[in-house]
Amino acid sequence: MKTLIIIPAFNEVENIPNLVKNINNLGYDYLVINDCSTDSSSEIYDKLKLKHIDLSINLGLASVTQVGFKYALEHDYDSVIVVDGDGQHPPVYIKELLEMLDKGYDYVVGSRFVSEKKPWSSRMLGSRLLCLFIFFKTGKWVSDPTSGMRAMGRAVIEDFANSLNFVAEPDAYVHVIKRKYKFCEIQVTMTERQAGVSYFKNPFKSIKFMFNVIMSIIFIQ
Amino acid sequence: MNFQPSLLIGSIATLIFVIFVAKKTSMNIKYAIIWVVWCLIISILSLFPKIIDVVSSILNIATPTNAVFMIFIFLSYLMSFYLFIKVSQLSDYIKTLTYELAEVKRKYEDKESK
Repeated sequence: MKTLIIIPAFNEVENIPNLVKNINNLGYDYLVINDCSTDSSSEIYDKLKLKHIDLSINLGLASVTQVGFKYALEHDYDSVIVVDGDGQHPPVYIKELLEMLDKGYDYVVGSRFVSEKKPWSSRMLGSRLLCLFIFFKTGKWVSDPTSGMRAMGRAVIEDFANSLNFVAEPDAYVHVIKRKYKFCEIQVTMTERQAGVSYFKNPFKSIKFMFNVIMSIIFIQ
Repeated sequence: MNFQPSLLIGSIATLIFVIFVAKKTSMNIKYAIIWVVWCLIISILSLFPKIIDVVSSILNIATPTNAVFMIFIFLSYLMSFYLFIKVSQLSDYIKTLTYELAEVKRKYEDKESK
């Protein structure tokens, strides 16, 4: 099975080389997608000879992963794994995700809370709210709707590459469930972001994100 | 203002229409959400027209009808402003893409002629 690891990256020059080194050690094919970073990402990737494409326009995370899916489709990959560029997703779990794909699942999510308990922080409150809306819409409980670490098979890749219309991961999840793809979750442990700043440091952005995702789950998906 | 069933039916029909067409044409989610929210607002206003009375007394506008007109014209202006921003962004993007394409073409032709 030909597998591609997609790494969306915006100003992640501190984290990417390390991540790619880990992935290389495991022997997987990868593609770093540089979403028009404003730092010196492009030159440094060139210098380190990392396999990457540089977008000329800043598209945002959802569209960047779609670019990755288009690439995977073009180059005939059978499965794609999305790993965030901030180093929160340890590549050691890639093997487990792929094993589940081999068992016939179409969409495998690396979830932080399959066997672990979800803490009661403000961010996890948001996560619970999303779980609730996903349950209302689809009748299925998911444990970690915002997890960005996902593996998907050919059918889902084609679907996502041609008609990706999501705000973020939670409504993509709803789309997958509603289309009756076989999905499952496996337990992963995510590390703290190693360097750089998170998008959700700003509370207004978080609220806007939640609102958009919930609207998308209720009305559009 | 009093409750009018025809307004409620109209606004809910608009909501259904917007969701249906947005899904069918797979309208970009960012824009679809704005329209869905817009339709929700008019549905809520037609379900509870008293809101308009409260708003018009807060804003000190003589008749609620005028408040409706003022608020909705203002919102329409905001929406068209948003569109102006998007259009100017898009034309910037096209400029960048055109340049990149020209650059790639030049490099390709240089290679060909060698």
